[in-house]
Amino acid sequence: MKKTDENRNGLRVPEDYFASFDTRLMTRLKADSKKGMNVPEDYFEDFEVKPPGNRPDVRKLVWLAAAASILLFFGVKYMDTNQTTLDWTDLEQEEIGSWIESDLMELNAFEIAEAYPDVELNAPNLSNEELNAYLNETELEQILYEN
Amino acid sequence: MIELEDKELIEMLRNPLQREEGFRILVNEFKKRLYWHIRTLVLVHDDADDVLQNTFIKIYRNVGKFRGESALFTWMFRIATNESLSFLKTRAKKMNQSFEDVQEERARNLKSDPYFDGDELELRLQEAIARLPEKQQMVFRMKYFQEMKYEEMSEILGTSVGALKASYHHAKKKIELRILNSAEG
Repeated sequence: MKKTDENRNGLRVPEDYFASFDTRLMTRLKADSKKGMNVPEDYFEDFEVKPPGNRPDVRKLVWLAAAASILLFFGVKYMDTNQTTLDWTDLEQEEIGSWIESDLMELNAFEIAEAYPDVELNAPNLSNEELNAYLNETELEQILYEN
Repeated sequence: MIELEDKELIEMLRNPLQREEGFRILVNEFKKRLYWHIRTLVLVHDDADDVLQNTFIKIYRNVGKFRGESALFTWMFRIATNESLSFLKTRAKKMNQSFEDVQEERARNLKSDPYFDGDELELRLQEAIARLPEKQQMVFRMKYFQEMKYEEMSEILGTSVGALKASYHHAKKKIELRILNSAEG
């Protein structure tokens, strides 16, 4: 069976495919890397800068700030503190937020187990399908890139 | 490629000042081998082109995570294999078909594919391979079309050499039988 760069076992590539591949790939790579910070088309053309006359009055802002401070003071003073206790759902949200912000996500399973030796995790109620989807989509792909 | 060249290339890819140049060298060095690996699995040129681009983009973005525990070539082939399989499985899911059904249809469509000029026997071979279970297809395509060594395949697929040999043997027997049956029919 024929085996060249352009034809293998009956499968062939368009003319100059490999010669033009690098340029197309680089164009796509650059386009992909810009995707995260796009603005709508013609955004800057329609962009309006507000004239200086529309700036808020600083004196009004001072009064507003003072009024807000008074409200806040009374709000805190007479607030029912019993209502502020966190339940598990709130704590979980807080913890997750802090976990992400502190880069603790970077710790691997062994480091987490070492850091919390007394904590035992209960098996979550995951179906086989959910577990398989998780393993297929998350962990295994990361392992793939590391080895 | 020797190990030292792997290391030099990886260092270039990790250095922001040399990253683009290193990537161009890597693409130039591996594009043909990776393309044929992917094309052998997905069959259709346009899809192989898409998967190859995705593979290189993933390589570019993840080279920082690569620990060098395997050869660069093996690592890239693993990503290409994963991308090809993901592509085919996504296609199967969208069409509500099995992996084998999708492959069989793709093999049948080769007859009218502008980038296929194989003869009748090559077409029948592709159709027979497409009806094999996923793992046997992979092993047979990598061994028969790409002439990969079992040791290389073992590293890429994470399967023992013994299991790969058994898969290839079973695949070969089934293909022979199907081609003979289709010739008689």
